Amino acid sequence: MKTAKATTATRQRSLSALPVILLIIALATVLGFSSPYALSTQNLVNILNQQVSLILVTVGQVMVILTAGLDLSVGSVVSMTTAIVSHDLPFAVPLAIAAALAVGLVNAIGILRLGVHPILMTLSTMTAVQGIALFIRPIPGGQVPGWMTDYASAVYFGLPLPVICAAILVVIAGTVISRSRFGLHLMAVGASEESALLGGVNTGRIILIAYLMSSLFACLAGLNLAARLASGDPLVGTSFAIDSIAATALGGTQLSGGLGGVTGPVTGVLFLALLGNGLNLLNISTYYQMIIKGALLILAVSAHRRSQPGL
Amino acid sequence: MLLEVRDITKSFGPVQALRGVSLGLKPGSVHAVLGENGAGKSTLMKIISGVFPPTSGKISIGGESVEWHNSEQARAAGVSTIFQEFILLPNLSVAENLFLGREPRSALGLIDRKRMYQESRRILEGVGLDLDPAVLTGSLRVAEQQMVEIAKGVMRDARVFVFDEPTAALGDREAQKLFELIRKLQSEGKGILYISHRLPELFELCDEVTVLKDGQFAGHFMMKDTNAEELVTTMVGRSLDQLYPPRRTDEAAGSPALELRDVVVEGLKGPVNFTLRRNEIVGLAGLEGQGQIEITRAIFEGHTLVSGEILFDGKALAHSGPSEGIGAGIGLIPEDRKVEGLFLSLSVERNISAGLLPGKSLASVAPTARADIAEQVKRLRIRLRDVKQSIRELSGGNQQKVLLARWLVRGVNLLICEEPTRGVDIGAKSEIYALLRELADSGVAVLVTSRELPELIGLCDRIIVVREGATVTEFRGEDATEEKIMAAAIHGGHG
Repeated sequence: MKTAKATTATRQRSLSALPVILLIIALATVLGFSSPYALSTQNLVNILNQQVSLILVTVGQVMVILTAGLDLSVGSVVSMTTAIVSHDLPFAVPLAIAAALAVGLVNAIGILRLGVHPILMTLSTMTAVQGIALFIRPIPGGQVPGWMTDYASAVYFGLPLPVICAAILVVIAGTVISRSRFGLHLMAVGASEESALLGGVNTGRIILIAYLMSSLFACLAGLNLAARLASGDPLVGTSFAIDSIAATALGGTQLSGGLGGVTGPVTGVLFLALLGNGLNLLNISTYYQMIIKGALLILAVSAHRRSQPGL
Repeated sequence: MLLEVRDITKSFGPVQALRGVSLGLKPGSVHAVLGENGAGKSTLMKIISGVFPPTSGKISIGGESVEWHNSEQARAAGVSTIFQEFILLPNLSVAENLFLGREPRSALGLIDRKRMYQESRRILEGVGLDLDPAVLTGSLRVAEQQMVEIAKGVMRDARVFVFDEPTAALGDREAQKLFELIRKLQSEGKGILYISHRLPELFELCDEVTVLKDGQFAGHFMMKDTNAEELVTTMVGRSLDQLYPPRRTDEAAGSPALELRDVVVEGLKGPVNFTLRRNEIVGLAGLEGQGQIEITRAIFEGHTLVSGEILFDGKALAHSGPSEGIGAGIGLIPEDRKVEGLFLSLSVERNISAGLLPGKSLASVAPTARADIAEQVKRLRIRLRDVKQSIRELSGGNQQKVLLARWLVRGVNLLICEEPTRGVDIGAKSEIYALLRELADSGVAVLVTSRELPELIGLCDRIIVVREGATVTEFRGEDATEEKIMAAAIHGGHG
């Protein structure tokens, strides 16, 4: 039996990020020629720092998407987190984390026990949690603990501390997804829950952990955002769900689950950011920017559609 | 006894799927379970493999009474089942599939891929499979995936292997390879339960056979003391004196309905040349994947040809999609009934009327369709409670008849049947053959592909052999033998 030329599974997974990486290189080249500031270290570090929250949300979103689910509630969790920590409470941060994990738990229970489709389940919690965020902090304001603002402004080795923290988290999450048993089981569940179950995977546990991680990462994103803003804002997370899904898809992770990793989606975030920044530097109006982004998303996603045999 | 089931009963609500079935499996024996669809074979297999527990009755393994409620428990007890629908995950590597749930881990808690690949390679070699364990499972052929499933059982020290129609999706050569492996397992003292509709392979492979009928034990035979006739009679409850309907006797065939002239289909070498007349059933034979399906699809879907032409009723085929093909009067019963043929979530009625629509106005369909559908259900003797019943609940044979009914209510000039009786029990098989013949007699041209040569030989007026995407030779039904067809399929020409 000849299988010498067949793609290996690990290779297949790592290849999925290739198109968007090529796109970034292409985009960077164009930007480098058109604006000298675009590729300056200062600008790139700024972009990275601005994208830390979206990167964190996306990392959590990827875990859910790998199981063939979707988490629309992440944006509301981001908002709720900033709302909670902007109140002067003794245990504001642990409270915010607990609240976020509760949202993940509710999502998982709804999906696993009540059989609600992930989109509808997380759409419901998205709405409810948005309400909670507005209840806690009807209008933007408040104040976050001093250590949080210190964290946001700290710089080590020329890099903002949030960027360093995000990088560490991304590497850990990436390793877990691509090399741990949990990561493998995420892919198994995403390809076929029933087969995974028959194959000896505790699918319920895997799905539960995926939604808990998604909420937890959204919470970390919220903490990071609150630290940067030094205040709370009940609507600050609104676009995060859509942006994280777009970045994930752009990065070559199929929304049908079972294939992908962290590299692609994170690169997807950076691509969208670099694109927005570049278009700004070129003085292109926001309206055009949105149209261009939408069109590029379709192009990029269609480029690596159906790269997976058997799915 | 390695595995013993005693007085197993299983009811699903009011339906009794099994009534007091017993069976004993000796170590080192291949034990066939035979029965029509709906006889309770699959239910019995699922109970043995732990998918669901029996309503009453006992299972013991190696003399010890066991009770299990999920397939993992059964597997831990040493029962490995190779289901018809594989449970391998296409997006994982072979090694990851083999070790799923019990991956070796390194000191850091991460998966130890190196060790996993090494052990996988050893296990795969053990079942005679030379493949890279890192390769994506979805990219393997069906036969290879099946071997991987078996390897998974071997790896977990299974003592009992349950095969559910393992050759349904295999070509002859692959089936032989599977049989070799089964014999090897047998020589190692494993017990093998083997479900299949294909009588010839049971005689080739099995030592004994238990026959089920209507959920009950109908007989137990030693393979060497019985013959096909006796088994069929036990299984069906009546003798099937004639599985195939008589061929057309008059030599004056109808006018040509379909002509392929030097056709080269995209992706195949070609050329394909043959003519199909009205009143005729013609079979396309060949080894697996030699272009049979590409040819039938080119006709039905109207693919753009690399060269040559297809004439339908004397005119060049002008459609470019299935719905236009249907509009032109061509019907297709696809190879994979569940995926391509049926709408599994819909009722029988809707599944039949689905074929009415292309090329016709809704008004022409609505008022009369009900009566037509009811008539065809009756004519084809489709066994069901109600036409509004879900298609899922019907047996394979009845589902296949529904697909046939779809084309009969509409009326077609050319009917293409890819694997007309795949996964269909022997009683329904003979009914389907008779219906196809009746259809041909009424003036329809029928084109059939099949992996089962006896079926083509029994059913068809002419058999055309394809090899590497080209037609190589043709036999009259009455002259054809399996040897002649195989020789032509392998060597080309009149081997």
